[in-house]
Amino acid sequence: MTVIDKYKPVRQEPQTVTPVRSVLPGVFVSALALLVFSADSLQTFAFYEDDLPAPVSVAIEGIHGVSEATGVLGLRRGLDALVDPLNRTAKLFRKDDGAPAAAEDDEVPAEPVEPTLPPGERWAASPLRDRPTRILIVGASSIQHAIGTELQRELEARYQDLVILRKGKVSTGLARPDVFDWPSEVAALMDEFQPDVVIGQFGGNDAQNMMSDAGPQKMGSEGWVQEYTRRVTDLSQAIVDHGALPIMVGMPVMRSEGFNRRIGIVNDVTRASVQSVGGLYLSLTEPSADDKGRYKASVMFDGRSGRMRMDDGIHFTRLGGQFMARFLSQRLERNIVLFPKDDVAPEGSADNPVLLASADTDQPAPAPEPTKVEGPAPAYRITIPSERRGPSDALAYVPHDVPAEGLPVWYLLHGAWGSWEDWPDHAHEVLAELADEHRMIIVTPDGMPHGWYLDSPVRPEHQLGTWLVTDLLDAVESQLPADGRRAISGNSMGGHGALHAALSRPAAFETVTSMSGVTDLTHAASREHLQELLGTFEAAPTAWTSRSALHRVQASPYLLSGTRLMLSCGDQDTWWGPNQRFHEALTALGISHTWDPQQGGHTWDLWVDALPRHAAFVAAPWKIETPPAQAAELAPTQGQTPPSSVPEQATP
Amino acid sequence: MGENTVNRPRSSSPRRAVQFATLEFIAFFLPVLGMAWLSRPWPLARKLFLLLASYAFYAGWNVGLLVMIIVTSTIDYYCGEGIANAKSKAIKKAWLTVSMATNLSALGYFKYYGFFRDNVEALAGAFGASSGLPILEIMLPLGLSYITFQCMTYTIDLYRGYGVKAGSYLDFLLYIAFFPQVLIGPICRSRDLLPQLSKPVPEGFPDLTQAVSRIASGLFKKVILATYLSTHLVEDAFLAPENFSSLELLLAAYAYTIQIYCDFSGYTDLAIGIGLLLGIRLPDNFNQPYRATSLADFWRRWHMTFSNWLRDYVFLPLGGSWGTRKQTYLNLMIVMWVTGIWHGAAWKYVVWGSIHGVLMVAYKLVQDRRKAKGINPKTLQHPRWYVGLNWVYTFHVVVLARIFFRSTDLQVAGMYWDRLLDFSLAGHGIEWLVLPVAAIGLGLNFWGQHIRSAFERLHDATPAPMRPVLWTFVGGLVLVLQPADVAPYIYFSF
Repeated sequence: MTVIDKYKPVRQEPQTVTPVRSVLPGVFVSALALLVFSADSLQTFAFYEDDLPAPVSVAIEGIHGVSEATGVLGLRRGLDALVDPLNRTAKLFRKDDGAPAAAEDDEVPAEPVEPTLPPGERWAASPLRDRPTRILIVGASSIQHAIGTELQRELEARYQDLVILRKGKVSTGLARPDVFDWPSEVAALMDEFQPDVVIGQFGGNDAQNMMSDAGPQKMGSEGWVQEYTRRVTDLSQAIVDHGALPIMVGMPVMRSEGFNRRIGIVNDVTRASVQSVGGLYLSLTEPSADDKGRYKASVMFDGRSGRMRMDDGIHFTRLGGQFMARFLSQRLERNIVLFPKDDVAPEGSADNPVLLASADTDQPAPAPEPTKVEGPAPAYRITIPSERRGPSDALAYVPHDVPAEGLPVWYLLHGAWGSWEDWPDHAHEVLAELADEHRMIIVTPDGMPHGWYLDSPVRPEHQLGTWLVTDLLDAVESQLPADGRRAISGNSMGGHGALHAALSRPAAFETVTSMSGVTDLTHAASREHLQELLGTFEAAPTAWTSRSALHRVQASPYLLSGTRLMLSCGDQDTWWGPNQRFHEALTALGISHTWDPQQGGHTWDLWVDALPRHAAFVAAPWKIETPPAQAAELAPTQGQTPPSSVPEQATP
Repeated sequence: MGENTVNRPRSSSPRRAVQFATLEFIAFFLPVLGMAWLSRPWPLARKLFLLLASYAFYAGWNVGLLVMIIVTSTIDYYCGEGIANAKSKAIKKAWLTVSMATNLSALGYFKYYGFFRDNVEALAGAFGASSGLPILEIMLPLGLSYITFQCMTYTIDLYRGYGVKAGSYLDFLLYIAFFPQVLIGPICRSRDLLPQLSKPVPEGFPDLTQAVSRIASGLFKKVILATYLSTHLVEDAFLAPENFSSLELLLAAYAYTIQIYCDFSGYTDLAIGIGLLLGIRLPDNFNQPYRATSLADFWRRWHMTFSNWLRDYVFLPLGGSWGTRKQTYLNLMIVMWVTGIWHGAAWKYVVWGSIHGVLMVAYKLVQDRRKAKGINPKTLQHPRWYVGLNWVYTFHVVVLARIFFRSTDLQVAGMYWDRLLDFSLAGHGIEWLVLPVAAIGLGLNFWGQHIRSAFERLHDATPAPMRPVLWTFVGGLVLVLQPADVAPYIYFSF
């Protein structure tokens, strides 16, 4: 073998040699000058670095003082402000994606709608009908990289009539607005893009200390939780105020145990905050963990197997991102209106397996109960403790032999002048049978004779709306063997209450039904009891419209679009008109629902007759998950609807 | 404290110290610089200190993987001793084999296991079977590709008889781990570094002016230009090309080629400048790569320490261009495949290497034809337009082949090409500042050396007491101009 060394080594003899003593001091002076020039960054650094030794912190404060006193700080800030516009220059080659003009007024109901306006006309400009669904996806590195890119690809591949804008930026979050100000960025993007849905994933860089108005907050402390809650809630609220549905995606399980624990806190706060304004939370904990809930490094998906996570134990590989994207798109399909393309395999088929059963909880779907004891469910009187309104009563029908995972809960609200005893008084035996037949817990809470299940702007102590979606659910689920799945229904005032609850917290209820419900409060503007809670309609029209299902759905159609809906009403009822209009509005908006018109008036006869149909409708998705053998056993139990009133399915 | 300090990801962390242009690195480097010169009277203590500093630097990334560096460099040191002291050629060969096996198996396990497993699994899957190979979560130690290549130059050069033997175990450890070059090169031969380590400590800063101009140039290219291009266009265009128009993707491909030059040559400038401040001169890695008028010319100018390595340790041992023409072509292809797979364990790098290989073979074929006709291409004087055309061709091969190199995987590269060829104008939108920034970056490839020389003249003309003012001014300029965040070094991942 001939070896020819062509290599020329580097020149090693220096041309000039500068004495050490004439350089080193200069280097240190120059470094110090640059520190003075960077006093602001140093101060920020010191704040977020909570393990700094005291002398360093003192030195940094000193440098900051010197910088301020000598005017260097002012110079730096001036120069930064001068250069800052360069970070966001005007765009060339931008394609017009048909974004509608920005709304003039961002308040929830843009303008109070005249209750007397003829139906149909009002809904002509339905956002869902005359343009594609607009989805804005924002977040940190996971959105810029695997999860975000693959989610966009997945959605664009599977669904039609979508416009997606995605903006991800590495190393950002909500904890450090000094690094990147997401709330302003999201506001700017919403003005520009006019989204119907905003999907955000932020928490990855937020497990760190934060600066609040009250001072520095240590990660995980009470003050930190308060501050982070405020930030997520404000951002979600801003999205709702813009007429879009906020959806926050949680962070996945992390390899480092300590980091994972802190991310758990971030996830908990994010979930509670986004749900508090009626948004959705989609957890990634489940698909990113093994069956013991621990970090999972690999994944099998679409016939391929490989690493799911990158070397850092945080980010996803492309395969991992594809898996997460499929998981998320399946969750989204259940929660917002998406129109699958014709050639896309339906969810649950071999080509598109349902990845994991449950959506918004971190628990797997309960296994069905193998043995079933017959017999009407016994009823229990329970007390709902609450600091908001004081203790109240409720009746709970709990079937025999509750499985370990618990059972779903159906909340049944009463009408005006009534109490928690209304439904048991009129249909005790029916309720006990239905609870047993459909394997669900039925709860009849108390909504006060004229409580209207809403928060009053006039009487701040009246917070029945918040009570329903927080205290009531918490109490029921802590006292009874509930599995976290819920539905809500009601008659008359209770119909309003059910719709209002679902609109304030869409993720909380899988199904909402109304029997002769008050779908539009403005139609009852003359009622004194309502005026006591809301003020007169003339004085405060938005207080009425913003609590009315009809107006709320018009303003933010996506809030209800993922909830299963059923409406019954008698044709002799005073609420026939508003119910019919609500049905037409939902149809115009493309929101799938079941319309169940009846013959009759505003009577208990009609409601007791409707009760089994509503129960079957409510329980339908809960039965799908039982194995075929048992489903066959359950299916023929009841002729679901009398032939005279076949519900008509309104689909987009 | 307490549980909060365990594995806490922070806004700033030792991990950031491995990037040169950060506050953390400066906090690390200033004391090291001071100590390195104050300890001049005690050369042994000075070297030990530099070694510990280098290990601390590397441990900032991952403490566990530090063990790997120490183990492999220890084995290679003793293999080197074995080769130097061997009485017979067979014993030399045995020692060399141990060294090669150590380095290649470290590289193979850490870098290529996942790739190997995925392909075996896919192959087995095609026959309806499973390979049974587990999916291992292996962390690629930072800089492993560079460290193993540098270790191998040492033992191979000793074996061939022209290597410089390390004066001591300490010298060798420092040669491998010297922190300015440990992560992404330049890959130093034993002759580059070891004599400098065994020589007496220099009396003062060798070529201070060059050190300053290298650092200034590195910061400008790396922190300002490369970061801006990455965060404002390249990153998003290559992650999700389907959102961009073909015009934008063409611009993004140019921008990436300019970004990778600014990033990598900027990092090398920083490494050389920092080395000079510590009294060590590192080899250069770039010589106006985008001036090349053929692919062979390009590889003589781009990442030179790496392409020299391949030439000396792969191409020439295979027989270089002395065999038959067919053998030469095959050797060229092999070198370009190695180049590809060295950059990462993925098919996209193989495709990228193959494109370079095939086009270089084609070029060689044309030249060989001409030689057969009695024309010597080396003495041929081409008209300017012909040279210009060759430049355009070479530059575009480099730019377009890198679409495979940069895309997430071959599938995404396919999407990139799909969109690139649909000839659409408007799409995602590009901030206008990208265009002048890219132009400046490309300009630095041609005139960077002139600008550096001008700066060096200014620096030399500045009286010593005024120099810190100049340094502060340059540093301040970089601080003000740097985009909001600093993108990671591209070549870290290889």
